Amino acid sequence: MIWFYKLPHRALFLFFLTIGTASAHTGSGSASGFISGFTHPILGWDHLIAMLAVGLWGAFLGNPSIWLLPIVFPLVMTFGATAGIVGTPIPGIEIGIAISAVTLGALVAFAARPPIWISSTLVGIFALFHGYAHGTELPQSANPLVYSVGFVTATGVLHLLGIGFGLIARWPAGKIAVQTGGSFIALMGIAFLSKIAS
Amino acid sequence: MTRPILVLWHVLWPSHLLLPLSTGLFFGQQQLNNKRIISILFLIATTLGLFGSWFFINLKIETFLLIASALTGLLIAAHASALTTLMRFGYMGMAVVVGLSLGFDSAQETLSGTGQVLSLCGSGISFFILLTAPMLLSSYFNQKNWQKIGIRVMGSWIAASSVLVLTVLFTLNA
Repeated sequence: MIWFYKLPHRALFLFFLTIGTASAHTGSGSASGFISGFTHPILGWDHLIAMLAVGLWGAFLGNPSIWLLPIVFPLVMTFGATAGIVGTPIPGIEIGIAISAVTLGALVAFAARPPIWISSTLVGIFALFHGYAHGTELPQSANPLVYSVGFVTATGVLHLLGIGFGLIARWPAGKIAVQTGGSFIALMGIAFLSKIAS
Repeated sequence: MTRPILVLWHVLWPSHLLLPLSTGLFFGQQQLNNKRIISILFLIATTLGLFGSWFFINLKIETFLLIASALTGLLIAAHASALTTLMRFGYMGMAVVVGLSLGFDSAQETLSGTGQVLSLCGSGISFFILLTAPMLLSSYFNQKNWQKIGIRVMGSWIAASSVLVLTVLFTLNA
Protein backbone atom coordinates (compact mmCIF):
# COMPACT_ATOMS: atom_id res chain seq x y z
CA MET A 1 0.00 0.00 0.00
CA ILE A 2 2.87 2.38 0.87
CA TRP A 3 4.30 2.41 -2.66
CA PHE A 4 1.00 3.76 -3.87
CA TYR A 5 1.38 6.91 -1.79
CA LYS A 6 5.02 7.43 -2.59
CA LEU A 7 4.42 7.47 -6.30
CA PRO A 8 1.64 9.91 -7.16
CA HIS A 9 2.55 9.86 -10.85
CA ARG A 10 1.63 6.17 -10.99
CA ALA A 11 -1.72 6.90 -9.45
CA LEU A 12 -2.17 9.72 -11.94
CA PHE A 13 -1.34 7.39 -14.79
CA LEU A 14 -3.78 4.79 -13.54
CA PHE A 15 -6.43 7.44 -13.06
CA PHE A 16 -6.21 8.78 -16.59
CA LEU A 17 -5.93 5.27 -17.97
CA THR A 18 -9.20 4.40 -16.30
CA ILE A 19 -11.00 7.48 -17.51
CA GLY A 20 -9.63 7.11 -21.00
CA THR A 21 -10.67 3.51 -21.33
CA ALA A 22 -14.09 4.24 -19.96
CA SER A 23 -14.70 7.04 -22.41
CA ALA A 24 -13.24 5.35 -25.41
CA HIS A 25 -15.47 2.30 -25.44
CA THR A 26 -18.86 3.75 -24.79
CA GLY A 27 -20.09 3.82 -28.37
CA SER A 28 -22.78 6.34 -29.08
CA GLY A 29 -23.69 6.99 -25.46
CA SER A 30 -21.33 8.53 -22.94
CA ALA A 31 -18.41 9.45 -25.18
CA SER A 32 -20.46 11.27 -27.80
CA GLY A 33 -22.53 12.94 -25.08
CA PHE A 34 -19.42 14.22 -23.36
CA ILE A 35 -17.78 15.32 -26.59
CA SER A 36 -20.85 17.18 -27.83
CA GLY A 37 -21.18 18.86 -24.42
CA PHE A 38 -17.48 19.67 -24.31
CA THR A 39 -17.41 21.11 -27.82
CA HIS A 40 -20.56 23.22 -27.42
CA PRO A 41 -18.89 26.13 -25.58
CA ILE A 42 -15.67 25.76 -27.59
CA LEU A 43 -17.19 25.69 -31.09
CA GLY A 44 -19.63 28.49 -30.33
CA TRP A 45 -17.56 31.65 -30.75
CA ASP A 46 -19.91 33.75 -28.67
CA HIS A 47 -19.52 31.37 -25.72
CA LEU A 48 -15.80 30.98 -26.27
CA ILE A 49 -14.88 34.66 -26.17
CA ALA A 50 -17.12 35.38 -23.19
CA MET A 51 -15.59 32.50 -21.21
CA LEU A 52 -12.09 33.66 -22.04
CA ALA A 53 -13.09 37.18 -20.97
CA VAL A 54 -14.25 35.89 -17.57
CA GLY A 55 -10.86 34.30 -16.99
CA LEU A 56 -9.01 37.35 -18.31
CA TRP A 57 -10.94 39.72 -16.10
CA GLY A 58 -10.50 37.49 -13.06
CA ALA A 59 -6.74 37.37 -13.58
CA PHE A 60 -6.67 41.11 -14.22
CA LEU A 61 -8.52 41.88 -11.00
CA GLY A 62 -6.30 39.56 -8.96
CA ASN A 63 -7.27 38.03 -5.63
CA PRO A 64 -10.02 37.06 -4.77
CA SER A 65 -11.63 37.56 -8.21
CA ILE A 66 -9.12 35.26 -9.88
CA TRP A 67 -10.70 32.26 -8.16
CA LEU A 68 -14.12 33.69 -7.29
CA LEU A 69 -15.31 34.50 -10.82
CA PRO A 70 -14.49 31.06 -12.28
CA ILE A 71 -16.29 29.49 -9.32
CA VAL A 72 -19.34 31.75 -9.46
CA PHE A 73 -19.79 31.28 -13.20
CA PRO A 74 -20.38 27.48 -13.39
CA LEU A 75 -22.44 27.47 -10.21
CA VAL A 76 -24.82 30.19 -11.44
CA MET A 77 -24.73 28.72 -14.94
CA THR A 78 -26.47 25.62 -13.60
CA PHE A 79 -29.54 27.72 -12.74
CA GLY A 80 -29.66 29.02 -16.31
CA ALA A 81 -29.17 25.50 -17.66
CA THR A 82 -31.93 24.21 -15.39
CA ALA A 83 -34.29 26.85 -16.79
CA GLY A 84 -33.27 25.76 -20.29
CA ILE A 85 -33.79 22.07 -19.55
CA VAL A 86 -37.25 22.49 -18.06
CA GLY A 87 -38.19 24.86 -20.89
CA THR A 88 -38.78 28.07 -18.95
CA PRO A 89 -39.03 30.77 -21.64
CA ILE A 90 -36.40 33.51 -21.24
CA PRO A 91 -36.32 36.06 -24.05
CA GLY A 92 -33.20 37.59 -25.56
CA ILE A 93 -30.75 34.82 -24.71
CA GLU A 94 -28.59 35.32 -27.80
CA ILE A 95 -28.55 39.09 -27.22
CA GLY A 96 -27.58 38.50 -23.59
CA ILE A 97 -24.68 36.25 -24.63
CA ALA A 98 -23.42 38.83 -27.15
CA ILE A 99 -23.77 41.62 -24.55
CA SER A 100 -21.78 39.51 -22.09
CA ALA A 101 -18.87 39.38 -24.55
CA VAL A 102 -19.11 43.14 -25.23
CA THR A 103 -19.31 44.06 -21.54
CA LEU A 104 -16.65 41.68 -20.24
CA GLY A 105 -14.31 42.53 -23.11
CA ALA A 106 -14.79 46.26 -22.51
CA LEU A 107 -14.20 45.86 -18.76
CA VAL A 108 -10.89 44.16 -19.49
CA ALA A 109 -10.01 46.71 -22.19
CA PHE A 110 -10.65 49.66 -19.88
CA ALA A 111 -9.01 47.91 -16.92
CA ALA A 112 -12.17 48.35 -14.85
CA ARG A 113 -11.83 47.40 -11.19
CA PRO A 114 -15.30 47.43 -9.61
CA PRO A 115 -15.93 46.02 -6.10
CA ILE A 116 -15.95 42.24 -5.88
CA TRP A 117 -19.71 42.00 -5.35
CA ILE A 118 -20.37 43.95 -8.56
CA SER A 119 -18.00 41.83 -10.64
CA SER A 120 -19.45 38.61 -9.19
CA THR A 121 -23.04 39.73 -9.78
CA LEU A 122 -22.27 40.78 -13.34
CA VAL A 123 -20.56 37.50 -14.15
CA GLY A 124 -23.40 35.61 -12.46
CA ILE A 125 -26.04 37.36 -14.60
CA PHE A 126 -24.13 36.56 -17.78
CA ALA A 127 -23.68 32.96 -16.62
CA LEU A 128 -27.47 32.58 -16.63
CA PHE A 129 -27.64 33.38 -20.36
CA HIS A 130 -24.83 31.01 -21.25
CA GLY A 131 -26.24 28.26 -19.05
CA TYR A 132 -29.69 28.62 -20.61
CA ALA A 133 -28.23 28.26 -24.11
CA HIS A 134 -26.40 25.07 -23.10
CA GLY A 135 -29.43 23.76 -21.23
CA THR A 136 -31.84 24.06 -24.16
CA GLU A 137 -29.63 21.75 -26.23
CA LEU A 138 -29.04 19.30 -23.41
CA PRO A 139 -32.18 17.11 -23.54
CA GLN A 140 -31.70 16.48 -27.29
CA SER A 141 -28.13 15.22 -26.89
CA ALA A 142 -27.12 11.56 -27.12
CA ASN A 143 -26.48 11.33 -23.39
CA PRO A 144 -27.76 14.40 -21.52
CA LEU A 145 -26.14 13.35 -18.26
CA VAL A 146 -22.63 13.27 -19.66
CA TYR A 147 -23.33 16.25 -21.95
CA SER A 148 -23.80 18.42 -18.87
CA VAL A 149 -20.47 17.25 -17.42
CA GLY A 150 -18.85 18.01 -20.78
CA PHE A 151 -20.01 21.59 -21.12
CA VAL A 152 -19.24 22.47 -17.50
CA THR A 153 -15.72 21.08 -17.92
CA ALA A 154 -15.20 22.96 -21.21
CA THR A 155 -16.42 26.19 -19.63
CA GLY A 156 -13.95 25.77 -16.79
CA VAL A 157 -11.09 24.97 -19.16
CA LEU A 158 -11.82 28.17 -21.12
CA HIS A 159 -11.80 30.14 -17.86
CA LEU A 160 -8.43 28.66 -16.98
CA LEU A 161 -7.09 29.55 -20.43
CA GLY A 162 -8.30 33.11 -19.91
CA ILE A 163 -6.67 33.21 -16.46
CA GLY A 164 -3.45 31.82 -17.92
CA PHE A 165 -3.35 34.58 -20.52
CA GLY A 166 -4.50 37.20 -18.03
CA LEU A 167 -1.64 36.45 -15.65
CA ILE A 168 0.79 38.17 -18.03
CA ALA A 169 -0.91 41.44 -17.01
CA ARG A 170 1.56 41.68 -14.11
CA TRP A 171 4.13 42.99 -16.62
CA PRO A 172 3.57 46.35 -18.37
CA ALA A 173 3.73 44.85 -21.87
CA GLY A 174 1.51 42.00 -20.75
CA LYS A 175 -1.06 44.45 -19.42
CA ILE A 176 -1.27 46.06 -22.85
CA ALA A 177 -1.63 42.62 -24.46
CA VAL A 178 -4.44 41.67 -22.08
CA GLN A 179 -6.26 44.97 -22.64
CA THR A 180 -5.89 44.51 -26.40
CA GLY A 181 -7.35 41.02 -25.98
CA GLY A 182 -10.27 42.54 -24.10
CA SER A 183 -10.83 45.06 -26.91
CA PHE A 184 -10.80 42.24 -29.44
CA ILE A 185 -13.39 40.31 -27.43
CA ALA A 186 -15.60 43.41 -27.12
CA LEU A 187 -15.40 44.02 -30.88
CA MET A 188 -16.32 40.41 -31.60
CA GLY A 189 -19.25 40.78 -29.20
CA ILE A 190 -20.39 43.86 -31.10
CA ALA A 191 -20.16 41.86 -34.33
CA PHE A 192 -22.36 39.12 -32.83
CA LEU A 193 -24.78 41.71 -31.52
CA SER A 194 -25.10 43.44 -34.92
CA LYS A 195 -25.56 40.05 -36.59
CA ILE A 196 -28.40 39.22 -34.19
CA ALA A 197 -29.95 42.66 -34.64
CA SER A 198 -29.80 42.56 -38.46
CA MET B 1 -20.15 -6.17 -23.96
CA THR B 2 -16.36 -6.29 -24.04
CA ARG B 3 -14.31 -7.08 -20.94
CA PRO B 4 -12.86 -3.58 -20.36
CA ILE B 5 -16.33 -2.09 -20.45
CA LEU B 6 -17.60 -4.79 -18.16
CA VAL B 7 -14.95 -3.94 -15.62
CA LEU B 8 -15.44 -0.20 -15.82
CA TRP B 9 -19.17 -0.23 -16.35
CA HIS B 10 -20.16 1.69 -13.24
CA VAL B 11 -17.60 4.41 -13.70
CA LEU B 12 -19.51 5.50 -16.81
CA TRP B 13 -22.34 6.73 -14.63
CA PRO B 14 -21.92 10.43 -13.74
CA SER B 15 -22.91 9.89 -10.11
CA HIS B 16 -20.34 7.09 -9.74
CA LEU B 17 -17.68 9.32 -11.24
CA LEU B 18 -18.47 12.64 -9.57
CA LEU B 19 -18.81 11.45 -5.97
CA PRO B 20 -15.45 9.67 -5.57
CA LEU B 21 -13.74 12.47 -7.49
CA SER B 22 -15.19 15.18 -5.27
CA THR B 23 -14.58 13.20 -2.08
CA GLY B 24 -10.97 12.51 -3.06
CA LEU B 25 -10.33 16.15 -3.94
CA PHE B 26 -11.91 17.24 -0.67
CA PHE B 27 -9.80 14.88 1.45
CA GLY B 28 -6.65 15.95 -0.37
CA GLN B 29 -7.49 19.62 0.02
CA GLN B 30 -7.88 19.19 3.79
CA GLN B 31 -4.23 18.11 4.13
CA LEU B 32 -5.19 15.19 6.35
CA ASN B 33 -2.46 13.11 7.94
CA ASN B 34 -4.60 9.96 8.04
CA LYS B 35 -5.15 9.57 4.31
CA ARG B 36 -4.01 5.93 4.41
CA ILE B 37 -6.57 5.01 7.03
CA ILE B 38 -9.25 6.90 5.13
CA SER B 39 -8.49 5.17 1.84
CA ILE B 40 -8.36 1.74 3.51
CA LEU B 41 -11.70 2.43 5.22
CA PHE B 42 -13.12 3.52 1.87
CA LEU B 43 -11.87 0.33 0.22
CA ILE B 44 -13.37 -1.87 2.94
CA ALA B 45 -16.68 0.02 2.86
CA THR B 46 -16.85 -0.18 -0.93
CA THR B 47 -16.13 -3.91 -0.86
CA LEU B 48 -18.84 -4.44 1.74
CA GLY B 49 -21.25 -2.35 -0.29
CA LEU B 50 -20.47 -4.29 -3.46
CA PHE B 51 -20.94 -7.62 -1.66
CA GLY B 52 -24.19 -6.31 -0.28
CA SER B 53 -25.39 -5.32 -3.72
CA TRP B 54 -24.40 -8.75 -5.06
CA PHE B 55 -26.35 -10.73 -2.50
CA PHE B 56 -29.32 -8.88 -1.18
CA ILE B 57 -29.25 -5.12 -1.38
CA ASN B 58 -30.41 -3.32 -4.46
CA LEU B 59 -30.59 0.35 -3.57
CA LYS B 60 -31.22 3.04 -6.15
CA ILE B 61 -29.61 6.00 -4.47
CA GLU B 62 -28.36 7.95 -7.46
CA THR B 63 -30.08 11.11 -6.23
CA PHE B 64 -28.31 10.85 -2.87
CA LEU B 65 -24.95 10.30 -4.58
CA LEU B 66 -25.44 13.38 -6.76
CA ILE B 67 -26.56 15.58 -3.87
CA ALA B 68 -23.56 14.39 -1.86
CA SER B 69 -21.16 15.16 -4.71
CA ALA B 70 -22.75 18.61 -5.22
CA LEU B 71 -22.34 19.42 -1.52
CA THR B 72 -18.77 18.12 -1.47
CA GLY B 73 -18.01 20.18 -4.58
CA LEU B 74 -19.32 23.27 -2.82
CA LEU B 75 -17.16 22.50 0.23
CA ILE B 76 -14.11 22.27 -2.05
CA ALA B 77 -15.02 25.55 -3.77
CA ALA B 78 -15.47 27.25 -0.40
CA HIS B 79 -12.24 25.62 0.85
CA ALA B 80 -14.09 24.70 4.02
CA SER B 81 -11.76 23.22 6.57
CA ALA B 82 -12.11 22.35 10.21
CA LEU B 83 -9.27 20.12 11.29
CA THR B 84 -10.45 19.28 14.76
CA THR B 85 -10.21 15.79 16.19
CA LEU B 86 -13.94 15.40 15.78
CA MET B 87 -13.70 16.36 12.14
CA ARG B 88 -10.97 13.78 11.56
CA PHE B 89 -13.43 11.10 12.63
CA GLY B 90 -15.98 12.84 10.46
CA TYR B 91 -13.73 12.40 7.43
CA MET B 92 -13.41 8.69 8.20
CA GLY B 93 -17.18 8.42 8.54
CA MET B 94 -17.58 10.25 5.26
CA ALA B 95 -15.23 7.79 3.54
CA VAL B 96 -17.24 4.86 4.90
CA VAL B 97 -20.62 6.35 3.90
CA VAL B 98 -19.39 7.22 0.40
CA GLY B 99 -17.85 3.76 -0.06
CA LEU B 100 -20.96 1.93 1.14
CA SER B 101 -23.26 4.14 -0.93
CA LEU B 102 -21.27 3.60 -4.11
CA GLY B 103 -21.15 -0.14 -3.45
CA PHE B 104 -24.86 -0.47 -2.71
CA ASP B 105 -25.74 1.51 -5.83
CA SER B 106 -23.66 -0.80 -8.02
CA ALA B 107 -26.05 -3.73 -8.23
CA GLN B 108 -25.70 -5.47 -11.57
CA GLU B 109 -29.02 -7.05 -12.47
CA THR B 110 -28.36 -7.96 -16.08
CA LEU B 111 -25.19 -9.98 -15.43
CA SER B 112 -24.53 -13.24 -13.63
CA GLY B 113 -21.63 -15.54 -12.84
CA THR B 114 -18.18 -14.43 -14.00
CA GLY B 115 -19.55 -11.31 -15.66
CA GLN B 116 -21.09 -10.14 -12.43
CA VAL B 117 -17.94 -10.86 -10.42
CA LEU B 118 -15.82 -9.01 -12.97
CA SER B 119 -18.19 -6.07 -12.95
CA LEU B 120 -18.15 -5.81 -9.15
CA CYS B 121 -14.35 -6.18 -8.95
CA GLY B 122 -13.91 -3.56 -11.66
CA SER B 123 -16.26 -1.21 -9.87
CA GLY B 124 -14.32 -1.61 -6.62
CA ILE B 125 -10.95 -0.98 -8.27
CA SER B 126 -12.29 1.97 -10.25
CA PHE B 127 -13.88 3.59 -7.21
CA PHE B 128 -10.65 3.19 -5.24
CA ILE B 129 -8.58 4.79 -8.00
CA LEU B 130 -11.18 7.51 -8.54
CA LEU B 131 -10.93 8.46 -4.86
CA THR B 132 -7.22 8.03 -4.19
CA ALA B 133 -5.84 9.61 -7.38
CA PRO B 134 -7.56 13.01 -6.90
CA MET B 135 -6.80 12.80 -3.17
CA LEU B 136 -3.10 12.40 -3.91
CA LEU B 137 -3.18 15.07 -6.60
CA SER B 138 -4.98 17.66 -4.51
CA SER B 139 -2.72 17.06 -1.50
CA TYR B 140 0.40 17.06 -3.68
CA PHE B 141 -0.61 20.17 -5.66
CA ASN B 142 -1.82 22.19 -2.71
CA GLN B 143 1.20 24.34 -1.96
CA LYS B 144 1.09 27.32 -4.29
CA ASN B 145 -1.76 29.76 -4.60
CA TRP B 146 -2.64 28.91 -8.21
CA GLN B 147 -2.77 25.21 -7.30
CA LYS B 148 -5.27 25.92 -4.52
CA ILE B 149 -7.32 28.01 -6.97
CA GLY B 150 -7.29 25.09 -9.45
CA ILE B 151 -8.66 22.71 -6.82
CA ARG B 152 -11.40 25.16 -5.82
CA VAL B 153 -12.38 25.69 -9.46
CA MET B 154 -12.57 21.92 -9.96
CA GLY B 155 -14.84 21.72 -6.93
CA SER B 156 -17.20 24.23 -8.51
CA TRP B 157 -17.24 22.19 -11.75
CA ILE B 158 -18.17 19.07 -9.82
CA ALA B 159 -20.92 20.89 -7.92
CA ALA B 160 -22.28 22.41 -11.15
CA SER B 161 -22.13 19.09 -13.03
CA SER B 162 -23.87 17.27 -10.17
CA VAL B 163 -26.71 19.79 -10.02
CA LEU B 164 -27.16 19.60 -13.79
CA VAL B 165 -27.19 15.82 -13.84
CA LEU B 166 -29.75 15.89 -11.01
CA THR B 167 -31.91 18.29 -13.03
CA VAL B 168 -31.71 16.09 -16.10
CA LEU B 169 -32.62 13.02 -14.04
CA PHE B 170 -35.67 14.74 -12.59
CA THR B 171 -36.66 16.04 -16.02
CA LEU B 172 -36.33 12.61 -17.62
CA ASN B 173 -38.32 10.98 -14.81
CA ALA B 174 -41.05 13.63 -14.84
